[in-house]
Amino acid sequence: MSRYARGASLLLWLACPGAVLSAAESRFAHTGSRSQYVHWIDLYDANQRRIDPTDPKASPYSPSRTCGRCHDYEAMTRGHHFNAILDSASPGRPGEPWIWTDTRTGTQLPLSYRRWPGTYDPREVGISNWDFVLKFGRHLPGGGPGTPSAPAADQAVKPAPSAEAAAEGESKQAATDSAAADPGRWKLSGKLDIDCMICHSNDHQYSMELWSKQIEDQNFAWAPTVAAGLGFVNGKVSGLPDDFDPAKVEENARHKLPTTTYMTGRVNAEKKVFFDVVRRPHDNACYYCHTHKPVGQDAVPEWNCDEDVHLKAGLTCADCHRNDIEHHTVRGFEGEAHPTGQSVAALSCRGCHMEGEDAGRLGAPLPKHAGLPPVHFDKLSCTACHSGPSVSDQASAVLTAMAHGLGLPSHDHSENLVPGIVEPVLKRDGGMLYPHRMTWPAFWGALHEGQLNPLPPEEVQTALRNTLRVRRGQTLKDTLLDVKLTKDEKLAVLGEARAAVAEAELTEEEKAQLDERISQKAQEEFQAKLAKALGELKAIIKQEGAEPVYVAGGKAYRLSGDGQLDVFEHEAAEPYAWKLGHDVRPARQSLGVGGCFDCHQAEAPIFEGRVTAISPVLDDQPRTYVMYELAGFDKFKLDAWNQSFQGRTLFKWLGFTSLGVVSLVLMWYAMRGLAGLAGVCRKV
Amino acid sequence: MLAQWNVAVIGAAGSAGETFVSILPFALLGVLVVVVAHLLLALARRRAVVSRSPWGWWAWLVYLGTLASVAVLGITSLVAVIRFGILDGWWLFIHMFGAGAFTFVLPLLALTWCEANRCECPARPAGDEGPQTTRFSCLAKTMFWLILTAGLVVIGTMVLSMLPLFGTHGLELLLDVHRYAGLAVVAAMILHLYATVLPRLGVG
Repeated sequence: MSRYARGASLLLWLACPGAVLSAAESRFAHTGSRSQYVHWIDLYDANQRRIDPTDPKASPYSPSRTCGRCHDYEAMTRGHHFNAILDSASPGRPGEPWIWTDTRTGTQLPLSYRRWPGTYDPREVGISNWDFVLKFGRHLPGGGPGTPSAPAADQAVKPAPSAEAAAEGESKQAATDSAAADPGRWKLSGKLDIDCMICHSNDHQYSMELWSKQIEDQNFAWAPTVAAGLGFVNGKVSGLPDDFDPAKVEENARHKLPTTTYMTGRVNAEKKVFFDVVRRPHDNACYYCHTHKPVGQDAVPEWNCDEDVHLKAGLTCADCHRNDIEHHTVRGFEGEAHPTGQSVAALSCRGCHMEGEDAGRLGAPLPKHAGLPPVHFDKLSCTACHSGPSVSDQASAVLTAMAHGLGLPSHDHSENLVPGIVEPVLKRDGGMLYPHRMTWPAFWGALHEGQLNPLPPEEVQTALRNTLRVRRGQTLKDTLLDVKLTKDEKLAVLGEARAAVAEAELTEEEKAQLDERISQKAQEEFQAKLAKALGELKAIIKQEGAEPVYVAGGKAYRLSGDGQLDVFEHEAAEPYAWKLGHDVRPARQSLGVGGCFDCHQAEAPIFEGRVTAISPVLDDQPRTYVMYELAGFDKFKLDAWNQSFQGRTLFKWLGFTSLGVVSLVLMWYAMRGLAGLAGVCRKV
Repeated sequence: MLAQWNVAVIGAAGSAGETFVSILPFALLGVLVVVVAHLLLALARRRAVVSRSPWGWWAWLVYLGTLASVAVLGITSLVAVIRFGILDGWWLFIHMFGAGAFTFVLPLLALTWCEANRCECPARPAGDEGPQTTRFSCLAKTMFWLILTAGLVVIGTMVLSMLPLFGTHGLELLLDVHRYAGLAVVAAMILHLYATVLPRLGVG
């Protein structure tokens, strides 16, 4: 660059301190290389003070202040994994919700700050950011509700994406304001920063279990330090009273903030710490939050399950689900619009495997789909045939990391674990069939002028504790099933002669009769308990004219005029479903590989498979749906179409015969014609 | 190679369906032009009416069967494509039944009328023709062989597409060929019907 240009640049810089940088420049330095940058870095705490790791009174390090010195942390807060709570974030395609589960009250409430249809904004049901982080922090990457700043700015309710939300009552707004105003114990716990090392740690030391434990102890500010293995923490914020003031506590007082001790093995002489960082996260990082586990009697055991075919082929999660510095992670569905304006069409199934711009990325093979009429590509998504478990006669139960805490050690990973989620469920969206996972909301709510809104879960628990009487370690369902027959009841079932006989000596039929009576009694007691609970809920419903309702398993329950339980249907009780994309099965295990009759025949699971609602309470007649109902197919047309396929083989033979006869006739007369012409030519 | 050529042609034209829909009015107009031109020519010539041999019950049955099946196929496909842009739902369902009928009657038509539609060159003088060959005019004979040829292509493309032989591009090519061959069958059938009805009106 010439001296004149240098001088001009300097003048420009002096005159315009806020001058816009060119596309190639950034206020953060870059290496511009694909090789990893070695991170020997200083640690900084939440107050931007440099940390001396050897100091016994060292503060926990803050990722936003440490990583944020060189990386645009502010931009990352707008990324998909962190931006749900922001007004400016687009809701995007509906995905898996957070499910607020309370086994004591039979609550399974699908939540989302993005206000996807069928989910509830936590702020509108009295769940503060604090409550949310404590409940779901185990699978939160930090940021979002973990970093409340100005309550009015960040916690304002976003404009409703649908018309129904516009009709919400004042009570919702009041609850929102209340939730927004509650500061929680943030001043003690500190903020839960986005922890970059959750995804970008390369040394396999990062422990989500430690992360989860620190959040459980309300040590939000300490969680990144401990989880990364940089140090350990002594003390818990959860043990401190609400009015604890760190400035007033003497050294040997009973209560004090947790202390941090750094592991000196990763600290060099300059008191810099080594961070083993990788640009593209390993699959293991993604798996912690995005794992699912089929459960149930027919579930294939884990050791015999296969991973996604793309991973087996050598791809990683981040090869398709990639992002820019703003961390707008590509979700990979067709028609996805990336916030940067960059085309991500080639990162969807069709965009990569079929034809179009950038198709064939990463060596994606072009599928032949031999014999599959092209009309199927207008009616079926790629995932309908290639993703998730094969569709069967009955949708089966599945556990997910977000809903069931997979990734943390537990003794219970059975199908009875709440919330109940089933897959695959085929539903149509925009005329195309997609596989989904589905769950049924369960909550105590208030019905007013046709609008049914959940009541704050903690208030419900407080109000119904003595009515539901769920023992510690039990669920509401366990309590409802914990029913014993009286002597008279046993007598009525078995008769005088057999009623006194020991249980081990009863016949199978007698045991079945007793079980049936127990089940009946449990159902009767459940209904009585539910009716009583609904009566008591009136006390906590502030809205005038609203009646208490319980929703579970696709049904809504309320009290009729005479105090009896009335079951009715309501939109709020309808299941919530979200599309699934993984695990992708190999081509030879796709739907339709066996031919047309995989789908086009009577009783084919794709149309006639059953989906049974899972409820956290007793239900002797659970709602059962048929796939074609959920997908919105016309049964008559479907049956007619599938029946017509019975003649397909015959039609093929008829076609060959017809072709043969017509071809012979044409050839014969063509030859005669040619012979005639030849004769004419000879005469000429 | 053929599939790639097809992709290129269709790509240039927008989409296969759109190309077909845009050609359709011209094809039907062409049929109308041929009918009008032939009629005018026949009226202008004022030739002596050639006596055509009457049809037996079997010939009637086969012809009506062919006519009905082509009518069903033509109506379901053309109306659906013009109205909805795609042959789908109940329209496709009925089209399939028409296809079954057409597949059944076409060889019967071929066997029943092949001899009567034989073209001789040079044509025998009037009055010297055998009884079979007086049944159809030149136009009718031409259309008969066109129906057979195009019908062969229509059935062939559909049967081939039902086999697991062709990938997506190949199936799209077969579908395109099926469309145009089907249009040819419909056009030929209209002209054949015209040519068959005309003598009964005392013309040609």
